[in-house]
Amino acid sequence: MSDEQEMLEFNPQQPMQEIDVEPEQETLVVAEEPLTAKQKSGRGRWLILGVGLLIAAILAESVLQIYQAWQSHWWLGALWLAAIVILVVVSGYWVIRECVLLYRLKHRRQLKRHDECTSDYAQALVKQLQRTDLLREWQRIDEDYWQPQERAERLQQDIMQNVDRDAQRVINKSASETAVLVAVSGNSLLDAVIMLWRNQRMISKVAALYGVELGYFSRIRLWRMILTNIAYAGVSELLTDAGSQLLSAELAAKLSMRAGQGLGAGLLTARLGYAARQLCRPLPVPKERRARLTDVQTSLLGALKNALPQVWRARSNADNSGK
Amino acid sequence: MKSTVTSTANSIKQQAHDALHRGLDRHVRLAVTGLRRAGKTAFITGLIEQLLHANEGAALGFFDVVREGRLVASQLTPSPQWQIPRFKYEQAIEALCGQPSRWPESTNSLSQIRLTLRYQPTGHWYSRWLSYRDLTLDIVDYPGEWLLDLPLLSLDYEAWSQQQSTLLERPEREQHAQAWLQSIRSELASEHSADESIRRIAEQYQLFLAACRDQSQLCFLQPGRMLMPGELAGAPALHFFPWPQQFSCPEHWQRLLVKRYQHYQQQVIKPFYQSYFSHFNRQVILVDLLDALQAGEQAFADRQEALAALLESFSYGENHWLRRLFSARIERVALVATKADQVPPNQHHALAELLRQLLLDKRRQWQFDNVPHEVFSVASLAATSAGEVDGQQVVQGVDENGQTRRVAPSALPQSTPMAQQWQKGFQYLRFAPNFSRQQIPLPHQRLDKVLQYLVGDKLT
Ligand SMILES: Nc1nc2c(ncn2[C@@H]2O[C@H](COP(=O)(O)OP(=O)(O)O)[C@@H](O)[C@H]2O)c(=O)[nH]1
Ligand SMILES: [Mg+2]
Repeated sequence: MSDEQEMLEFNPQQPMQEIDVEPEQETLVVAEEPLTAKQKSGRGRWLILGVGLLIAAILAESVLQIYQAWQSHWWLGALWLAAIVILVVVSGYWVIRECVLLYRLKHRRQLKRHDECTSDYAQALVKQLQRTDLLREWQRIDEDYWQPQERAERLQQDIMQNVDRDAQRVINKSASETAVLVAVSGNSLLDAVIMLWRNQRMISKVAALYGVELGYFSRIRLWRMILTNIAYAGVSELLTDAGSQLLSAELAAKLSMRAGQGLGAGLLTARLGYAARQLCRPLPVPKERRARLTDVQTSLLGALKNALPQVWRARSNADNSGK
Repeated sequence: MKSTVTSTANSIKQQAHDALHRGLDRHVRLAVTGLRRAGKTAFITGLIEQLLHANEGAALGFFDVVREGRLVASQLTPSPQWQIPRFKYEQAIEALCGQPSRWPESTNSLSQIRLTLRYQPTGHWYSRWLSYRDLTLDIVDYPGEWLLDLPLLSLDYEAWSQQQSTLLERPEREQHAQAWLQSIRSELASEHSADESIRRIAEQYQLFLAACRDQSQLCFLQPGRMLMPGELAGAPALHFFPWPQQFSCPEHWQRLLVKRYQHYQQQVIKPFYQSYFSHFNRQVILVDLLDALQAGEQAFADRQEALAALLESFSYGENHWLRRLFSARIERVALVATKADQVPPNQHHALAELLRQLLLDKRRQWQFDNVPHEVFSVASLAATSAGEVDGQQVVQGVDENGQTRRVAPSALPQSTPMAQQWQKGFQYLRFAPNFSRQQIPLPHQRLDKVLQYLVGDKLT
């Protein structure tokens, strides 16, 4: 073994040239509560104190109650005890699960710079997707001679694109369903409920595709991140999509109002979906693959036209009769 | 008046026809160029190996047509030029996978091979109606020594003699030249006929060239056929040599030497390039930087010069005299640093970077002439695996004695090394192959990227 490990003289002549990689720029704005952090110092502490006292009170109360119950009838006491144990176990499980899921969401790995993409790191990213088939595929194709950028490229094309395709399908489907439902409903309260319900489902699905499981708090956190992301990214997206905005202004004139509402709802859904995708994806979406809302709009119009020919035509009929 | 109209119409028609033809051209003639032992034979073998097994587990993630599952199959097909021997691909694989595993024999003659790639087109108006298309890929293998004859085409005998005499002043050449110079002296004094004398001196010159190659590892040695005569062994066509400027040349010798030189130019070099190189449209230039660094300062400089002379003759500018010889247009040039498997993966970038540095002037020229080119570091047949010892990247493989070795080779310099770096020297272990039939398709490093660059655009 020792002669096997015999080394040639190693003479590092000069430090190797730094590999210059452009870090993939991504307008990824993650909501790191700068506002709430301050508030927490004041109000939050009191709130925690209050809740803590409340729990303590409830515990004391229940202990007393069980004790009393035990005094009168031992079986009544046992019943209480069993009930409370079950309650504590279930809620404990829930709390732990919530904590774990939230932790996972907060600490999930995302490749920020392509030169970080070592073999181990890439494998960790693929594992995060929780897809054994993709993991096996990745282990088959990964080559140890690849440079980090090359590996990142393969990761995008051979692994992520698989998931992307599914995510795209989910987003498209939800967007057109929402668009149709909102166009049909004609009641703003109902619209809001539909939006909330459909988007909720879509985001869970998209997150699950990228291996992010959502609990209650993690869901809220993801929602908040998504909304912040949209709010920040909104301006630049508006600019790039200016063409589509013009187009839709022209279209809006022809569309019936309800179809227009449907279209808007669909676009918003799609945008939420893309934001969710961007936040859950282990690698940033490469520029050339980023979805454009213009494409979504075209497919939404198609869906609306198919599902609701009468809504589509309602306005032009009215126009004709008006003349 | 009418005739000008028809001729204009005809010319437009011709142009349209040419454009269509070029657009639909499914024929890649790949010129594999490189000095001797740069890895041409290994490269061609690796390329064929990967293409033939593209759908049977070859690792070709960067080759779009394979990744997208559009390559139906590839096949070796007979070449239409029947007088040229076929490239011995099967023998090469036999040697590589044999017991013991060996590198393919070094090349001593010309051979050619043709591959047909059948693929599904995509993204064209006709894609929908065509279930497949064929792309023909022609590759020629030849001894690297011959390539250095190409620069001779632009020099007359005088100029060549002058150039060689300057080279002769260098110590690494001078030390081998004594016997040859001595033979000139004695022949000048002797009574032999001119023909006889020149033959004798040429034989000495041949020995001189061989000594330069084998002992000092020099490459810039002309004429190349003297080192690798092929069918010309012993023929009077090779009985000439550059005249050293320190002697004065008798008139009748001079006439004979010039005649032989011109004959060599016209009857040996020109036909060779006209038949095998004039129509290529893609070129790959292979450079073995590791061997050059290991060979030391003089050999490194010599190789750099040889490469420069070589590339000078492959100038593709519009008005270059070679344009008349090379009728086709070079569309792409891949610059490849070979044998990358001899250094650990974290040095691959530095290897490509060094080649980029060394070819800086040439690349500027290409940029000016609008010839697309790209630099790669490649192992056509990867004989090592990467590992890590104490946080230091190493390569592991089998050396020429069959011993398993794990080494951390010298770090690569960023550009032409300084004197101090030469003093320390560079060491890269020459690994032997260690393949078996079970490993087919044989491993490679980054050939897929080169393939994508060289033929990817024709496979859409
Ligand atoms: N490690 C390694 N060695 C190589 C590789 N390609 C060529 N070689 C070495 O280089 C030598 C010359 O290669 P060859 O292809 O015959 O060069 P040619 O004269 O240009 O045809 C071979 O005998 C091998 O020792 C490679 O990919 N990896
Ligand atoms: Mg060869």
